[in-house]
Amino acid sequence: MSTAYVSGRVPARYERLVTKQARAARTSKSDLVARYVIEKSLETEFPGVSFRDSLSGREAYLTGHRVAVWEVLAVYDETKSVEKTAAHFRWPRVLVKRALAYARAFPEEISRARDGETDTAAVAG
Amino acid sequence: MTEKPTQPRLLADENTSHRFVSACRRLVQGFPVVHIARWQDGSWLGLDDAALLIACAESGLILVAFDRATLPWHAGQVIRAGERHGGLILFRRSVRSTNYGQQARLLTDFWTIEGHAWDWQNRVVYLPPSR
Repeated sequence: MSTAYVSGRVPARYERLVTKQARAARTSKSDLVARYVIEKSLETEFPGVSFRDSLSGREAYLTGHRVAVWEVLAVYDETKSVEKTAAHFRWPRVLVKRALAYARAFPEEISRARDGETDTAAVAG
Repeated sequence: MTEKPTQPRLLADENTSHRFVSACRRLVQGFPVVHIARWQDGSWLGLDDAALLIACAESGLILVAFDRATLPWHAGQVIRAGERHGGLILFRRSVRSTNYGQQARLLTDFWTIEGHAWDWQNRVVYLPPSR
C-alpha cells in the first residue's frame, strides 16, 4: 500500500496527550497519529462506524452497539436481505446499510477481521 | 396465561438475536434469559467487552454470545487484572447466526441439564460442547 505524508500543527497540550497515549499503547507517536487520522476520517466518511481494539487489531463496529461490521456482514451473508438482517438485530435498516457500505468499501479489512475472530484459537480465562 | 417474571441469569449479547431469546422461551417457559437491548433499558449496549464482563459479574449474569476470539481473550484479561467475570457461554461458529431454533435448543438443553447448577465465576463454555 502506498503511503503519503500528512502534517499539521496542534496546541502543545494535545501533543503531550498523544505522546502519553502512544506510550500507553506501546507504539510510536507518528503511528498513533496516523491511526487517529485514518480512523477519524473514516468515521466522518461512514457515520455510525467507529473503531475498537480486537485480538486481530483495530476493527470497525457500529457506534453505540457491541456488534462489529463483520458480524453484520455475516448475518447478511446468511439472510441475503437488509430487511431480514435489520430484523435479526431489531435495528433500523439504516444501521445495516451503513455497516454494509463500510464492508463494501473495505472488503479485505473486514475479511481479515472476520478470519481473525473466528479462526483464532480461543484464549479463555 | 401470563408468564411469571423470572430473574434473568443469562444475558444474550447483541450479536445474538431477539428471536433466539424468544425461541428459548418457547422451548422452556420462564427460561431465565434476557437480551442485552432489553436489560437495564439497553444502557449496557455501549459497554466494551471488559466492562460488560465485570458488570455481568456484579449482577450475577452469565453472558451468552457468538464466539468472537476477542471476548474470551478479554475474559482472561479481566481475571489477570484481578477482577472476575460472571461466566461466558459462546456459540461456536458452526452454529449459524440465524438458526435461532438450534441456538435455543443448545442453550436450553445445556442449561436445564447441567449449566444451571454450576458455579459460573470465571468459567467459559462453548456450545455445542466438544465431546
